Amino acid sequence: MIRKSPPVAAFVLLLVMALATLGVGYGLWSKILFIQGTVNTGTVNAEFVDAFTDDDGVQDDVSKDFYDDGDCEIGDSSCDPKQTGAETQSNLVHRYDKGVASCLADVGDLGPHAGQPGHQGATVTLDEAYPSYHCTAWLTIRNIGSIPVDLHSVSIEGQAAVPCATGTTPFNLGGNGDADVTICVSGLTQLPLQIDPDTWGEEVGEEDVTFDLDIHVLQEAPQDSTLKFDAEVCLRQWNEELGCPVDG
Amino acid sequence: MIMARQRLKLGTVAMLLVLALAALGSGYALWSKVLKIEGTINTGKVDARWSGVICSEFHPWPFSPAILPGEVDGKDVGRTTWALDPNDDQILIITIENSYPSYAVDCQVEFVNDGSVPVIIRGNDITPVTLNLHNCVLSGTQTKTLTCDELTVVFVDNINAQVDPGDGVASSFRLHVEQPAEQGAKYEIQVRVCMAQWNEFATFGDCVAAAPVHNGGGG
Repeated sequence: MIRKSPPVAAFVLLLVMALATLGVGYGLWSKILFIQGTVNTGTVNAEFVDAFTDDDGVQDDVSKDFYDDGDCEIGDSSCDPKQTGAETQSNLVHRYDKGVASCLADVGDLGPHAGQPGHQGATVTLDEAYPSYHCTAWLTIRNIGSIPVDLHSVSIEGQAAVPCATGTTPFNLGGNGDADVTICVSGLTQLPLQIDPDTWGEEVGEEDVTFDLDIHVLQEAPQDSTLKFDAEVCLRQWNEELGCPVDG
Repeated sequence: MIMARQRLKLGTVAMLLVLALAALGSGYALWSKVLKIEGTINTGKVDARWSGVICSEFHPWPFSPAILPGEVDGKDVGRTTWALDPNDDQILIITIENSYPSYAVDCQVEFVNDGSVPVIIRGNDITPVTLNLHNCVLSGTQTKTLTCDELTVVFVDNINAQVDPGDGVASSFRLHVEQPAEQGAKYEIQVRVCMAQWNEFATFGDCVAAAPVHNGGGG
């Protein structure tokens, strides 16, 4: 009977390799340097801080609604505007001689971003309006985030708002096929318009931006009806090209 | 006959006496010396520490010769600061505040071999720490890139470079905030750079496994 001899050489080799491995494990001196990186992101946010019109019965700004004093000789409110735009003391043709309709604006927590800090929406409501009634609503926006934003565009009923200096857009809000109001926007010297965070200013409100919606009720407006329109102001971080749906 | 025996005994005794005296003489006359060796081994140490950081914002991403310094339009919106952990100079803390999508910063981070043994940089890695970083993938060899939905982090190192005692090495740590980053969020990542004595073979894993545990975690 021949007994096969064990593979001694293989055992030795394995032993050497095991010892070598052990040598690395125990003999290696090493050192780790760490970098702990923390990234805190800022916020993009803005709010409507003020809203008023030239027919809400209160003189809010003498350079814009000087005769909106709520004291028309005929009627219970300010004399109705018969044109849009700012009304200074010297502008004596801005109003009719009757106070029939009213136009109110307010800020509130509404719109798709309701619930976020600040007033995310504004309302403009015309009551007892009639053909050729006009209303100008001024809205003031403040950047209450920590990142600069561009006021990229204003859209009305999904369309880019037209600057009043170049024209106005008719809208058929009553659904009867005929345009019943026209709306344009003014007060924005350029688009996009950069607004820095309010905390950057030396005074509160230094960076506020005010623009106005100029509304004109047309002949085809239905009587005794409620006409609604949606307007959106799109702001995005100042260094990006994306994020606003309407090309302003 | 009797005389002859007595003479023999006497001779033997005399011989023994001579031998005994000779032995005694040797014992007293040997001069000897003991030389003593006291062995002391002072081992060196493998050590390193962060020695300096310079962070610069830039745009646009990615980093290239065409980049411009600072933020877009010269704004000062985000801020990057750094500090050494007060309890452990192995840990460099880089903090970015008020960042936003497209914010980018490049930090030149320098470390020095603070030990007495040459080391070789065995590797590095970048890992997400907070769970709000999604779909993170680490790629690259010499230049490691951690790509997450919210952040991209690049670490350019000197893997396999030998660093002698007292000598330093500069690496580049770059970070870019991506579009999906949430507002008002906090994201954390960690970079590890491991170096081991120059005369041993070691992978990055060996290096990390052999490194002493410290109060910053890992290793």
